[in-house]
Amino acid sequence: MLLHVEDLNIEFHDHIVPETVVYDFDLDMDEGEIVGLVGESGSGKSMSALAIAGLLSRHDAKKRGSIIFMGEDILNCPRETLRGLQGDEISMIFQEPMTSLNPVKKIGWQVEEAMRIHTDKTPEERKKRALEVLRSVELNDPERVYNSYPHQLSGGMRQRVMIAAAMVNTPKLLIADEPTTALDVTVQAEVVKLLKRINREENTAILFISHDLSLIRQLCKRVLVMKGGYVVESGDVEKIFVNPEKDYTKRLIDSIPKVILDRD
Amino acid sequence: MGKNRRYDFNLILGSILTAITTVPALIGMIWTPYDTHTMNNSLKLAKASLMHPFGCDNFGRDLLSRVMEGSATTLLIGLGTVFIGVVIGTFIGALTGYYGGLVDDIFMRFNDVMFSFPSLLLALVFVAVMGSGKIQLLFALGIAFIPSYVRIVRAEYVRARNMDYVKSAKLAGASDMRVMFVHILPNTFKILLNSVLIGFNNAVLAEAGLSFLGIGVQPPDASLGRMLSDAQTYLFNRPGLAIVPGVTLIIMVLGISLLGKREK
Amino acid sequence: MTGIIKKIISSILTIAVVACLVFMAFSLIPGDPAVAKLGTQATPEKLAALRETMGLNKSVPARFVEWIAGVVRGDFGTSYSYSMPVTKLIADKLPVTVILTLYSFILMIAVSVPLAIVAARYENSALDKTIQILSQITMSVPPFFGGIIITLIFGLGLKLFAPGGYVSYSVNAGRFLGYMFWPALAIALPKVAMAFSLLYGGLTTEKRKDYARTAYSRGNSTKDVFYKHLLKNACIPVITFFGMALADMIAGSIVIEQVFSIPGLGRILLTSIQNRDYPVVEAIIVCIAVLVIVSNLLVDILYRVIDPRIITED
Repeated sequence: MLLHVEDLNIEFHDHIVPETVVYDFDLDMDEGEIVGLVGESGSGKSMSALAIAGLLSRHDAKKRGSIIFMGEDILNCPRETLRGLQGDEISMIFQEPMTSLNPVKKIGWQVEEAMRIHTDKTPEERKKRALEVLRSVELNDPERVYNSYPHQLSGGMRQRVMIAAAMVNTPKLLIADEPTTALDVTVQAEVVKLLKRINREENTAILFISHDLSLIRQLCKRVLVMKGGYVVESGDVEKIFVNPEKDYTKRLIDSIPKVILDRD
Repeated sequence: MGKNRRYDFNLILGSILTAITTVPALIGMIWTPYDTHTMNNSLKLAKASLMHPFGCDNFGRDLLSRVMEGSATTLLIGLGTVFIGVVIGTFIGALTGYYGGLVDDIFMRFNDVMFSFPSLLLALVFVAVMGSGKIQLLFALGIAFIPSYVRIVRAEYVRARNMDYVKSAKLAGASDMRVMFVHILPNTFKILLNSVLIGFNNAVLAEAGLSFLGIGVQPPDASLGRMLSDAQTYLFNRPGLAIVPGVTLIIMVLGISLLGKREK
Repeated sequence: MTGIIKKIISSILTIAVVACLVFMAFSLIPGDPAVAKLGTQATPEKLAALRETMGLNKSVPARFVEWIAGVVRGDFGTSYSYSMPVTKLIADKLPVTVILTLYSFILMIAVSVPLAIVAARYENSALDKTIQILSQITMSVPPFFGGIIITLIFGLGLKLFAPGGYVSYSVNAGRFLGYMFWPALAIALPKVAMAFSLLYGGLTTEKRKDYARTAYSRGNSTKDVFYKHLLKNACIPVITFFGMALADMIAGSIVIEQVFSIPGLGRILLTSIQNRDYPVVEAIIVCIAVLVIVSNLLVDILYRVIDPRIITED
């Protein structure tokens, strides 16, 4: 087993009354598996994902339960151990590719960063690998992208760059937090296809987070539906699609525009 | 909640510090415990005593009285400087900002050059041209501070030029002068108030600096800067001669800047 | 690139305009420098002869053309009171002022950046609050009083340096730099406080942005996130302040020279103002103007180097 999450509870203490945002979250993932996590905004899906990636280090966030990734306890291991995994074995991409890239650093520098931190590659090897991974995310003219700044690229290209930077050390787990929400519909489909291909070729497990069930259906076999901090339903995507147990899931399905459903 | 308390803290402390320096200065304009010009050899460099709480300077003059008179001078020159700067700066800024065009362009180029020079140096040049003394210093500093006010006021007028309330005032048949000084001017007060506080502090520091250099207020008139420069000779034996006027200056500036912080 | 060339050209024009204004201002002052030098008792013949040698018998436009022609060649005329070429008079003093200014500037950066990073990293901690209060007070300390306090504590009290013990850079560069540390510190301190609060504001804004989270997700340590990612972004809005601070430090160094008995441009400027030795005053003002304008130009170039978004807008 790659990832084992049990009884994860997240509480925030930035207000006078503590506020729980995630209750009793359980998740198991195998190597190379794609799991979907769906729910409306505020359902706790992003918080769970950040906790798994070890990025919920705010002092006012209290976490209970356990997250075991490749045998390491993410919630209780030393910072150095966690940093050793981040960017190497766990990578994450985010919703806004514009703001998620550093505006004053060249793309090449940002794509190479995880290599500089985790490997002993020489600058030439790093550049070779960066160009290779930029090409593999289907960016034309990787040499030009390598020397560009984020503001010189389109939204879709930026998200590809984010994926390239995340994949540069071929991690075991890629957490994609609403990676297509800020993109055009046609670009969305391309990014989903790209993630699917990466999963197949590199055997990287993907935790795909979205509020859009139709995207999840295209990409995942298994899905968790979250509402108000609880996982309300989980299991096979097709099963849930055909026969949702909860009203909430039904409403999520109904909210998908009919055109897309028909096309599927 | 915590934020509001912090604002109040700045206001209270700022008011206290400002009062500590301005009240004695205001009293110093009409009355001081001892005459500030009469020298007394027997009290030369006298230590602090009940009669002379801060002791006496190298001419046997009561330090408290000198500081009161010096603060009064500094306060008056600071206020006068701000007055000259604000009145002329507002006038120029209003005309150039409201009308725009070539005159505005030329004026702004000139203003920007002036602005890029430290006001202390500008004032130094004016003093070099006009000679030293209280009145010359007042005008030198006043002129040196005009560019900063022109900048602020002009920006406000450029912004206001296209605002609806200005357009409707024009449609109602208001003359340009009326629009400029009856309609737009009151809207600049809020921003001006903050820059007046900052400007006052800069004027106080510049006055002290020029008097310290010996080209500002001339003896036997007292000024905080001049007292500091005279105290240097006796720094080893009587550091109080420097510390008293220096700390007075710091409290005055600190108090005003705390009041200004509240405005943000 | 064309943006920078345009800036350089407009800077040169500005220097020319400033030089003209300076000359005009000092030509219009009432009073006769020849009388000032010889005193009112001097005979008319002596005064006439002196005016002849000082070049005062020519018309203002003619003197102006002569002066400008000289300035372009680096010749600022002859000092009235020192009776020697102005250029020679200020040549060895200009570097002292320039070094002191740069020294202060480097100190400002070297102290304010780590301080802002520590405070922003431990935002709202006791350490952060302490630094905030200290910086608010330091901001209000004028350099000349800061210099007096430093002399009192570190010079007279702790005996870390000898007040008045200036050593010329041509005699001993090491001891020169050692002595100059203290005046540079006095100039830098209030600017450190201002740079700190601006950088702190920038860093606390930047650290909440998405790209900071991305940086953490790649395995960066907090220190690396601040130094390699946030700092450059936080600096962009502060660069304008750095430019103004650099110009202010030139003024600061002229004042602080008086506290630490440093023979730079400041002292000669002040005595020349008091002696109405206009060729010297004019020359020093033009020198300072060039320094200010060049520092503005450097800041403008720095902007382009740091923020890639400006280049593409040109």
